Amino acid sequence: MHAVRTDILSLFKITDKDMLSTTDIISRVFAEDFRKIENDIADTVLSQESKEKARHLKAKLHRRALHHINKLISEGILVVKRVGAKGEKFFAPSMAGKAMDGTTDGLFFPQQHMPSAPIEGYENKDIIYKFEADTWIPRLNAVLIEATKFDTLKSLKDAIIVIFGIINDVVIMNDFEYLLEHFPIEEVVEFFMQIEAESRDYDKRVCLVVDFTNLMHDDRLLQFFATIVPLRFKSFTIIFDVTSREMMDHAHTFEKIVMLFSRYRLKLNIKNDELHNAPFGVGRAGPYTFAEKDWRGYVQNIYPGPGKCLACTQASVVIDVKRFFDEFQKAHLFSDMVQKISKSMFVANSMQRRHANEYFKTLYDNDMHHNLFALSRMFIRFWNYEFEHPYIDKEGILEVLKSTEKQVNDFCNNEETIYLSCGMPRRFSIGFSSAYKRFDKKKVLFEASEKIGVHSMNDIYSKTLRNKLAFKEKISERLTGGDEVRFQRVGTSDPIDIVREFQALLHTYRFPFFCYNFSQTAGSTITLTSFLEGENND
Amino acid sequence: MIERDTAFQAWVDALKYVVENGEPYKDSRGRVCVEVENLKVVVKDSQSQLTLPIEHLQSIQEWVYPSILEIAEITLAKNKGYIYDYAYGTRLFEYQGSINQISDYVIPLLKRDPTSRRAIVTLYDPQKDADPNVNNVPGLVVIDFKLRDGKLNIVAFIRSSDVFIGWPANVYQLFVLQEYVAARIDVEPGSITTFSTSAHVFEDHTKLIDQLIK
Repeated sequence: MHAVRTDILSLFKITDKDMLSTTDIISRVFAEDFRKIENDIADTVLSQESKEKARHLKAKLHRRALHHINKLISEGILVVKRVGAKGEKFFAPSMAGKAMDGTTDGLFFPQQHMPSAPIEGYENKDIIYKFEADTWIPRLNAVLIEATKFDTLKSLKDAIIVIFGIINDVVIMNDFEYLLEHFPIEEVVEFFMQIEAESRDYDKRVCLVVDFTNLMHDDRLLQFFATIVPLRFKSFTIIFDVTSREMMDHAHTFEKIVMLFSRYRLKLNIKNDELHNAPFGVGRAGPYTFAEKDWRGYVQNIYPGPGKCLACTQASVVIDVKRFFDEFQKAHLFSDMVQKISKSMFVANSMQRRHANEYFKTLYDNDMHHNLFALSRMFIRFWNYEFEHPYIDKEGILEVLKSTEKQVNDFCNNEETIYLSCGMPRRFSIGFSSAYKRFDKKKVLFEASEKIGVHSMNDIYSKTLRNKLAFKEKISERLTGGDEVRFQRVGTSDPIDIVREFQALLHTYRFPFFCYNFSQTAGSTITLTSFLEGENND
Repeated sequence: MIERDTAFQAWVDALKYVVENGEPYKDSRGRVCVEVENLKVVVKDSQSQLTLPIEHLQSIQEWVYPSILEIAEITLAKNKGYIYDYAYGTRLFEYQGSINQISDYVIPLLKRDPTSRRAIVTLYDPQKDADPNVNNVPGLVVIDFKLRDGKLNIVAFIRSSDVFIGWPANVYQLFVLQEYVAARIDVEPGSITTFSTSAHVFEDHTKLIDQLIK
């Protein structure tokens, strides 16, 4: 290839612009001549004749450059992207032509596609599922947005809509209480309604994290819930981020919240802030959270900066553990499979990051993040792990999870070391988490995990339940990407009793995140007035 | 000093040298390694067997080693900050946000004065890197270009070099840069020399290294 054409192509390799104008190209490829000509034209003491000569040379330079550019266009390497106001053309590499097939002396690199992965056999056997397989690489699963970083509700709403476009599951809004403290409740309700409508249109979820450490005005929170809970919102999840001490201090508020949530059969999600400081989110795939160590670093070093959002989870797969053991029986084969998943995730992660400025362009354009992947992880979610099986029991499953976790962490550390040694330092981390039954719109997993029924405080301390909960604690310890322990509240639902149960759970068990389901409690009737005034009509 | 005709020979012999002469020590992450200080390795013909070490590392099943594409790209492409903590391409072509050390300095300088002894670029940026809280700073610190006997030779100062997994990628990156500059001043690529103030290999890789050097 002619040296000038090589130079032109090299410009596209080292520029971050989408396209280059003729002037951009000439000023770089013929830098010395161009500078001299421009200086002559601008020179006030130079004769008109000399200036005319300079203009003539400039036109000649243009023709010379265009000759080579046109050659590259005719060969399908470059395309004209647009014509500017003064007729100047802008060029970009052709995405389908020779420029992207790697043959142009190494200056252009081929578009990458996800290569055939060593997990496809497991996918065909319905042992592994990619969450949202169609958008596995070009979209993120979950993004956290900091409510405190926005001056207006409109800018926050706009930002959430931008994020809807680049995710396939959930937006986690941290410090939602900030909105209640800083904006009129009517406006927050209006904002909520608008986001609710948008999330339905985008088919995405939003998780509001209410941190009781920062909550100053309980009445505002209750006023907000009194308005929105009766709407039975579908795409929103509320998570109460609380310590046992805060639960005690805000007991009256929680009683009212229980009253309202149980009345409308909503799930009530509680995150134990003492055990796990990083926020939790809940999406269609399952729960999401950050690694504690990463979160501490974020709070100290990144949060004070200009970033407004960050990726929580890039992509995930779900493993049906029972189905695996039905098929393969052996624990060491499980380990082999997870190793293959880790490699596939690494490749996917590389591809996603290589094309991040294209896939997540809207975030860059809106200046919404400064280190999107600072805390992000890939997730391996587990489904159907609580079973007695001829080949492995529950304790065996725990051992498998423990050894697999070490194996995956070693792999991630090794990859970070390799890339660091090659002068390409990057984060790569895989988290374990549990999966929800309806994580895939097209497929429904079978064999739901066991729900734990609670009639009263006595159940929480009963021997039968203690054994079950001890196992759940061990599982939660392994699933650092997020696990949800579900309680089915049955019988009557006295808010005072239920808040005591919450306190008992926060005090006694090491569950970072648990959920109370009120779908089987005896109904209650409340009015808005009685709710706000604290009368319990149960 | 180790001086060999090809990158592969130089790599294997450098590994042997470090394994046989290295002093054991523990790094800041608690990993045990053996280290040789101030190791000079010369690859006389930079184009011969250049990718063989990388292909060997890619064939190891335990890990995913970067592709040639990724390794090359990091050297020439700027603005890869969303992938990596830093990128050599950015430091070379857009140092401190604006200085193009290659196109605006090294290439014009060598065109004007082929005997120049000041065609150097720096990848270490004190404004970003001289901070004890920064986790990762470039291993390749300074690169020197010399035009001798019609060939472009490169010498790189590497502050920390994992000779087993890092050196092959560094040499390939240097070659990509060498070829880029050589093409623009119309000369042939010559030798590549690396000078590593800490040349080390990690204990975790002993078995893999032994298989290679024996």
